[in-house]
Amino acid sequence: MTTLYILNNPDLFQQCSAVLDENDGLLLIENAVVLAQQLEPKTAGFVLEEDLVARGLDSNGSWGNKDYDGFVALTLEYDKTVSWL
Amino acid sequence: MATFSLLVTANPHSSQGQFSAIQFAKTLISQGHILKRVFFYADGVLVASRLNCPPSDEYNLTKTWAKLAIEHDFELVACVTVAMKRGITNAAEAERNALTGDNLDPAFEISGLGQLTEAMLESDRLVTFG
Repeated sequence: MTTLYILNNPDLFQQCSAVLDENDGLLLIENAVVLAQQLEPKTAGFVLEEDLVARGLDSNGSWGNKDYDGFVALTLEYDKTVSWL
Repeated sequence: MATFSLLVTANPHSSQGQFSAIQFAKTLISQGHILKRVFFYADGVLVASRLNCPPSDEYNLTKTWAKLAIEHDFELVACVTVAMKRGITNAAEAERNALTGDNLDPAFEISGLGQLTEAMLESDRLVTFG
């Protein structure tokens, strides 16, 4: 069972990372996209490009950029999604 | 082709989650997937008031959800308990609780958490926006 974790709050990154298994993915959206500039993902890591651009930020290159089409596709690639609120 | 339902708990007045959910809904529909139900919980139910009246240069989330749901035939369901607590009511609940008016947008319905459970069971994916 693989899980896509969706994180929108940068303050919860450590908590969320602690539960990630090696086959899980992490998608940064909304205010959490700032992490794509600062940190390296521990497993497959993705960032929602629209939210990155809206904040005038760039990824540090270690996160996969996804548009909304890619976001929908990711939710189907993993067995389930958990939004970390 | 997959079936999706969404759980939206984001406050429409103070967070981005409702916008994200709308964009996600539009995208999955454009990809040919099916959106079965959007369930609003916690502060997310605030979007169900037809009296929401943002300034004309701001996005009207209530009307956007309503239009999308009518065009693409999916359900907008707000949890009755948290809706009533926040003053979001339909005519029947207003009468039952002796309230002086109702404000639920006609594109929305209010119902119980069973509707969320059913959406989870009958959809391939449930995605939460908070």
